Amino acid sequence: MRLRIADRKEFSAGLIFTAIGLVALGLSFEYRLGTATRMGPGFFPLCLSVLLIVLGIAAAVRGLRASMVEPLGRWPLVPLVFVMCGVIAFGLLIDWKGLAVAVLVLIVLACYQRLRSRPLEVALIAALLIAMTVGLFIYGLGMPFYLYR
Amino acid sequence: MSQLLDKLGLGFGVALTLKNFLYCLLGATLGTLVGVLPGLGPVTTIAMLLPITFKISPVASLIMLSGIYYGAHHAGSTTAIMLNMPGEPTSVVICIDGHPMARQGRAGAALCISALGSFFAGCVSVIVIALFSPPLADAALLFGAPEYTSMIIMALVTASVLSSASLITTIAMAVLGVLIGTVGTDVNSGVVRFSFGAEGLADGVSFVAVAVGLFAFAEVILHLGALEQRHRITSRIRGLLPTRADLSAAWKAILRGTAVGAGFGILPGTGPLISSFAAYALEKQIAADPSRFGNGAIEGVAGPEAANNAAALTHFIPMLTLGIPAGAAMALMLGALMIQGIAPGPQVMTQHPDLFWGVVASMWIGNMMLLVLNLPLVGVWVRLLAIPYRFLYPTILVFCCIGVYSVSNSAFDVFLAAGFGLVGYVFKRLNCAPAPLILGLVLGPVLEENLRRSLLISRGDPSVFFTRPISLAMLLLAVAFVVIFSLPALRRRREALT
Repeated sequence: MRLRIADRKEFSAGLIFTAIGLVALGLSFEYRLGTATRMGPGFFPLCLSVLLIVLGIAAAVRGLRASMVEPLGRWPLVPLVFVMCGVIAFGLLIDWKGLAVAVLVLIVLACYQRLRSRPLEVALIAALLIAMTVGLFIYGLGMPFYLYR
Repeated sequence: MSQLLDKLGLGFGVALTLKNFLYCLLGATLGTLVGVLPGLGPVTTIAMLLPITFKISPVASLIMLSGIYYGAHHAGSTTAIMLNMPGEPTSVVICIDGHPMARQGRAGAALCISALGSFFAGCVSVIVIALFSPPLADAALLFGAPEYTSMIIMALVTASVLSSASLITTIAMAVLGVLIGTVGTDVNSGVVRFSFGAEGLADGVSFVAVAVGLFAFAEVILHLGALEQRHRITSRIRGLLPTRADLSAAWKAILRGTAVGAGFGILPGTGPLISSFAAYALEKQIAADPSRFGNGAIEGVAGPEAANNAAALTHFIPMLTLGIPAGAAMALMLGALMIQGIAPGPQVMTQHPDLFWGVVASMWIGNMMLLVLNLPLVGVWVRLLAIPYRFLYPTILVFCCIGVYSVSNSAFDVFLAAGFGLVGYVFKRLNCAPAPLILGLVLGPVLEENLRRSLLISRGDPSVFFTRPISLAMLLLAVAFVVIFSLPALRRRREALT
């Protein structure tokens, strides 16, 4: 029997919710549950996890039996990867090397596409933004960031 | 009545200080900018500016953020009329009759009527807020823990129902948000939940990190993945003034739109969005000649635009009086207030009257500013549309990263924001609305607290939610909303419109 999943988006969403719910359920048991009258720290998360699992299964079922076909569609991954790497790099660099380097790397990673075709443009944006943020945050607002280490 | 005047006097006194006036101007200008530019919305901007608001007073922050919110709603119609491209989702309806008017060379009249209608709607809404908030807050002071629990449940459910995605996934997002809100130190027992030993999670998931990741980062990633659209400005604006015929046709539509908007805006969820659609449908229904609609009927611009702006202001009522955010932007502002140490709820009006009335007064001042910003300066904004997104988004990313980091000088928060950017991207791709998640995150701890207290008072008896009249009424309202908006007929209509 082949499963024809009509609404793939809803089905996948349902699966994700169920998975998160199951994980949360397992984790909730590590805390004291208590009773309804005197709720322990685990009680509320437990209720929420159960609710999430129920909703997740309902969504998955609905996705299975949907009348309109909704395919997953294209998911451009390149922007996702580069922006996330840029942000993570920022987080790693700002304490280690200072604001200027962190902003520079963020821009380089986030503007990867433009970098290949128009590197000068990216360099200009980077220079402008570094100047603006350093001026605004370190000198203007006096925030405790490292400029460069 | 004299008490009201006193309060308003206090409010204007606060709003007209130089500092607050400037923040109002900044908010209104940013809001107009954001409303006109595609790819940048008021929620993203508010999320991005949250960390900055922690350095300024609560009144000033709220004045600025609210200015961004209603400013964006005012300005979204500019691009809708000129370029057939709505600056905000709430301005989609304006394209239908506004753009044909522009093509007929009557862009100036459309823009003028839309700005005047918005101003009128804004003034009326401010009066509505001033009149109805005090009694509402007084009534809410009688609420006990069970009423609060039911009210929060109703808010979450209603917010889920009024979004256009599937009801089940939307409620699931809200539940997920509440679940994420349980991470951190449990107030009652002192136990640290779900922290996996990470220090950055001991105080809970950073609200700013979630907001920035879910709304700003996810938006940027999605936009980068979409195709670039070229836009052409249809017509130069020749004359700004509408004809007498335009005015006489439009003013009734403006009145109706204001009424619709003021009512719908209070509803949690996409109240402002629905109000502009509802106003358009209303105008079309009662028009003498419905065939004009779609070809440049001025009522099709005036009514929805007034509704849109009336709703944008009354949308604040639940947040300011009850502490219940009616949408994502409100949730963010509420979060900003909480971090500044102000516990939202009906007591805000009595404990921080300068905050409440200052914001109300600033809304009126902001509306006046928007009249100037949107009419004479409209050419400036339209020219700004020429800025390509590739210059915009690095700026957004940089400001967001710095902002998130600066809240607690914590790189962990930045990583968290990146993670939620991924989460936001995945869920947006799967047609799940992110707004209920942030609503759940903000309201979760309050919900748990009140639920606990209710069950403690009733000694574990869940019927307490049903035996107390106000609580029962709210739960029934929630059920009613679910039923009404799930009816197949209404669903099809909504899906056709959105």
